[in-house]
Amino acid sequence: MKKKTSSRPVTERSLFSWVLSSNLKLQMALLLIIIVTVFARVVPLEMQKKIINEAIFLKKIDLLKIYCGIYLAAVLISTIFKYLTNVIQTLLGQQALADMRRAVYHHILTLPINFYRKTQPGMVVSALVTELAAAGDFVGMAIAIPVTNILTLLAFGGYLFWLHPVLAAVSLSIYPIVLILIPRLQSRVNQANKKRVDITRELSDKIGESVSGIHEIHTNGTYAIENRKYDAIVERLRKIRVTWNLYRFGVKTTNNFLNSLSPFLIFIIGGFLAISGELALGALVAFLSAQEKLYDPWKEILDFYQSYQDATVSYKRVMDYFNAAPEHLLAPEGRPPYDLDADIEVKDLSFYTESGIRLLDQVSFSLPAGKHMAVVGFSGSGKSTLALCLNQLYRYQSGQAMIGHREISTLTKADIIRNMGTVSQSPFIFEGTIEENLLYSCLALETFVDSEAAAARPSLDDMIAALQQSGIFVDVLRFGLDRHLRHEDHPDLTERIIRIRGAFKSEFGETVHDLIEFFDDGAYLYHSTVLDNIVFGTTDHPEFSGSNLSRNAYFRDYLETAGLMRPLVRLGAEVARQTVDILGDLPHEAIFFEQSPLKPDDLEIYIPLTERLKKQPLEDASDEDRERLLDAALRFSPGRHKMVALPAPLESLILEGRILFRKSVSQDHPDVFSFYNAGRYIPSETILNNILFGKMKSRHPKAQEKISQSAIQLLIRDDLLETILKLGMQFEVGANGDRLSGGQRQKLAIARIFLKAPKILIMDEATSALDNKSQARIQNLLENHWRGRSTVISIAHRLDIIKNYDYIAVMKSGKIGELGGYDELIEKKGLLYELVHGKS
Amino acid sequence: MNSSMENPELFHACEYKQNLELLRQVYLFAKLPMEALKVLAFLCSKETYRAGDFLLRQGEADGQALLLLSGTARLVRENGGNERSLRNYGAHDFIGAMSLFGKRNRLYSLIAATDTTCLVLEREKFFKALAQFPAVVPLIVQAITERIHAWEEKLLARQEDHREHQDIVGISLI
Repeated sequence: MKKKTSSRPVTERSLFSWVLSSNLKLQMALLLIIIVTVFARVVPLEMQKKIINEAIFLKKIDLLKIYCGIYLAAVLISTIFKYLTNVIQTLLGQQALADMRRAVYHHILTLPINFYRKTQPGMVVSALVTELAAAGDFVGMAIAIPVTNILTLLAFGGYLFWLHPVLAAVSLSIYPIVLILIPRLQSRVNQANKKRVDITRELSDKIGESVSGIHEIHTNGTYAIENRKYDAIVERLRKIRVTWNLYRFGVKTTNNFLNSLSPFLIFIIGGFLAISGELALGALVAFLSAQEKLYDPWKEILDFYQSYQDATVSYKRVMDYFNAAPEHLLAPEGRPPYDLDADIEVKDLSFYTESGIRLLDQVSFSLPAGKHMAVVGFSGSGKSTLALCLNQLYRYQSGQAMIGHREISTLTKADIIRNMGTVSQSPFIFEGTIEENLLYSCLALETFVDSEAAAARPSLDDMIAALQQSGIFVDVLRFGLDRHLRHEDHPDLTERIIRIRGAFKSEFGETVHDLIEFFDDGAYLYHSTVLDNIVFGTTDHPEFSGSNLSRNAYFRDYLETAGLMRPLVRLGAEVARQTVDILGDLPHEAIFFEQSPLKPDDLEIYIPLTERLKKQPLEDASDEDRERLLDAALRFSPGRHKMVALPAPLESLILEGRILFRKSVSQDHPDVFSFYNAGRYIPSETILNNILFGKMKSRHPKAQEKISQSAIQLLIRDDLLETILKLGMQFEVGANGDRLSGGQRQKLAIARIFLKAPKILIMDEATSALDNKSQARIQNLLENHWRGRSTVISIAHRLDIIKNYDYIAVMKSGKIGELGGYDELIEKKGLLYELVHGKS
Repeated sequence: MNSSMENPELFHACEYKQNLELLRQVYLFAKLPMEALKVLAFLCSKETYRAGDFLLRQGEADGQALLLLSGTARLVRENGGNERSLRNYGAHDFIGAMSLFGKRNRLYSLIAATDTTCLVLEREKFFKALAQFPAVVPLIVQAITERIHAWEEKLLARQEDHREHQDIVGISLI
């Protein structure tokens, strides 16, 4: 967070500034290497000449050896140095790209909310991920490529002139012609290309139109009419594509032709000179080689020019796009963030949108420290805007808003963060554990406040208190109960859970009986997988667990013997087919896959597999495919995975198989499996299922609540609550918190602010996704726990929770229409009365 | 081995397929394309209630819609301690579409009069599915519009037949 604030914003830097700011030592090394390389490139030419003229012609073996040696050395050096150039170029380029990505991202995060209102997330993503890459690559080659190639061109050209000035001038005369011709041809190519793109789009539109209107075409029999329209476009496209390609080849051909003209010039003029004895044969050979080698650097410079153009365009586009300034300094310079008094004074505050619509109109109020104010009003009255101005997300244009007698617009973000906490209407939850999200607001304090002043990390007790206050406590406990334990990691805990299992059965067994499917030796368990129904036990031997089991020879033999193999593969095929049919095209979101035996990543395998099954009978499927299908069947549990029903004959076959399995595995592998037993912990099941010694039949919240409540009672009695809670706090909430419900997300957001315990608390419809009970509890807490400690401004969406606020501000069209105590305002029969009782 | 196990029809009598059939007959989903309907049918869950259980509770924002499959449920409005039974619902009745669109507290309670089973669709799941099939949204809006309109037409016709006039009309004008 501590950054030089005086430096220029990243978006105003030029592309070349990244070249200059890159590692100078590397750049210098690069230059040196380039000079040596260029020198090493010319040496072989000179050696070529000397080998022919001096060694071969004069038949001197020792000179031949020396010159060849030098030749080889020069080739080696230039090869090695060329590689080194690439290495350094890559290092520079990737460093520059990483620097750009960081600087731009750090900049983007500080941009005002208003900026994001107009910005698509996809645009930001592609800017950072794709578009900057071209610019980074360019920075890597910005020095190496032009310098190397221009030097090479100069060196070879100079060498040519040194060999024979007239011949050099003649052979180089083609380049001005290339420079004139090629750009003209290229502009024709571009024009044709533009037309091609336009017509292609027209073609796509036409196809799209026909597909959407196919009903009409069939009904009216207008095949010929539509064909005529389409064919005409195709014909135009054909013509322009021909033109486009001809011009493209024209560019290539012209370039190649002109380049191959120079050897011709050299032969005819150089040959004449050689015959007339003015030019040694060796020199002519060297001349030809040098001339030929001009082509590569020439081409590379042209390519470089092209990528320079591309890089500048995309770089400029990205930077222009993000060229906005943060509205507030991130952190103060030369002082720690203020520890402000918590009174709020607002005077004539106004806020307009960019298009001039006035959302707040001369709002004034003052709220002493520790007092609570509810803001209510008609929709669109500016309630939320007020909150957003107070917490600096919006920058108000006129009037004053002061915290502890300091103007909010002059404060830095750090000052606000240190003194204020906000729960927004639809809080965002980041990927990570519950605990990480709970600490999210607190940890931010550490990054702003100087280390010694940094608030101590919240203790476990504080965290638990916050979970309780926000009402997410039971949910977290539930996550903890859904965890798996390994007996060897928690020997003591598993022992205690077995004891709770006994207590649960005797105390709650009756009341929750129809909600739970108990593990019963003689019954088919519809809420357990097929595998669990066969094995009815667990193992930690890797070759007998997970998806390895479907490859395990012993287990496969057993399935054949029990007559289960064929029907299970068939079941697996049906499960795979249905799951792919329903979920195949959906994004990998947790909510879609809750009731699927296949996980999102499995689909990569099962989608092509089901395609193959469409083309061939199941009997012809490969062994590998059959293993996969068996695996799908073993994971299938009919109570949860409703896309397929378990055929009754298979059910009884599995039940018979269970007995057979136990018998044979006890003989052949006596120590591998531990069978379900009321006195033994089952590591493959969750803690809750271990307590229940069974599985819940319904995932409906009411059923879950009923069972959780009973389990929690027992956990409290056994003093295990905190342990389970700690496990629950390690629950991964998923991307965007999508493994949490809307209510849970909101509770977690409330919990993280309660944990931060700010002096000023802004609740912007913070409880809107909660049920009545939770809302009432949080309201109670605000009134009893936070009154006097924190100043609270609560934007209220419901009127039944505001009665006990110190002040109520009723907003209407951007103004505060009424301000006072609840009873006082109701008696006045003004706006609040109208809101509560409706228009009379 | 039992030969009947080879019959693929056996797998098809599953809950998902039944859900699909049932949802297709609900006015709100009748016009949806199969792809969207499949996902909805898959995301539904079947719940059973004992007589006396609350399917919905007045004042709660449960965020779900119900399709009754069997049994009877009683719609009840409570006001200051007075309970008023309004009507009964039975198999194939679809209740609570509004809760699929937005969070609102229930204005009524629905209590199982007999043992009842129903199909439950939760708003969060419904929204997630809708997000995958944006083309479906106008169809849903259209279905709701037609439903409200038809309901009010019926109400007006009844009032006009009985020559009774109440001032609480105009829901279709919202």
